[in-house]
Amino acid sequence: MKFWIRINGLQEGPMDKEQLKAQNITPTTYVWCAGMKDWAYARDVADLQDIISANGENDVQESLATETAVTSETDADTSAEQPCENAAAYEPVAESPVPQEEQAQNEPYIALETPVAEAKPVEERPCPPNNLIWAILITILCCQPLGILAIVFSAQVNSKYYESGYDAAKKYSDWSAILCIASVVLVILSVSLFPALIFLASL
Amino acid sequence: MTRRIIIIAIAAILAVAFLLTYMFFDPSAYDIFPKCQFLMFTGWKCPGCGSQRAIHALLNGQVWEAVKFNAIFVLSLAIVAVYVYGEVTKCKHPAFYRLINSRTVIYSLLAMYIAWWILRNVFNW
Repeated sequence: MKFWIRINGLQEGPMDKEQLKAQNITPTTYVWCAGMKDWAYARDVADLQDIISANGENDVQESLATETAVTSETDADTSAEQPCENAAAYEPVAESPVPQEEQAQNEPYIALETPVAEAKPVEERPCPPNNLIWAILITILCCQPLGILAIVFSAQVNSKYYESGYDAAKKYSDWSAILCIASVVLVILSVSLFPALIFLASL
Repeated sequence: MTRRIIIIAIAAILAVAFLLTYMFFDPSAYDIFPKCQFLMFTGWKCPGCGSQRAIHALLNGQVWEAVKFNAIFVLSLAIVAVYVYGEVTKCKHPAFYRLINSRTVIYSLLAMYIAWWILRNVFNW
């Protein structure tokens, strides 16, 4: 299962639980995963309890104390323990509603009542390779204008993946690979055949 | 698995042979090295002309000589290093990975190569 987090206002993800461990999650870090209605504090996500306690036990005590002091509306609390398993296909988009910091400190759960942002299907397949490194090497080593063309296709792969998903990106990835292979074949042929032709002509 | 090891071994042997060849033989002094086809047919230099001499110079520690043969080749090695680093640390620094693989950055690289291609023919670099 993949999580997204917000650190210092920046959205990062998707990440495994293993990767989250390296991110220094505090109890008040915003977390989201497929199936959750909205962003929630890490301390309210049942799946992440072990990661948080590993990082800052003192913070938990502190924030729990303020929580009991400020809120007693238990309505929101019931939805707070979000099970991540029932993964409906949603992905947090950049403009998904995230409560402002000050608001969050006073009324931690108000965010959960805001409407769900425009949902977009999750892309489970990883981004296809953009072959850019090969395209650059071919451009500078093989003397082939085809290498330049391969870079044009490589440029599209990752951006297309984030905009329109795997299938669109795969097309560009395939084309850059084909151009790379074609220029290598062309170079081998021309380098080996051309002297051979000259040699034959001189006979 | 064994097949994979054989492939890696062959690739490693080829790479070492390639590097040794270019280290000990100066491409401008021997005829056995491949010539640029683009230069042969059109009379214009391609973006990669001079790379063989630049490899020879680099392997012999003459960085400035390499830059004079083909500056963009030396720069490309650095660019490739950055992209390999980005690929390896993809999970740790996803924002960096997305940045260097974004359309804007790659198109800038492309513009740089095309500009180099034109300028080197104009100024005979």
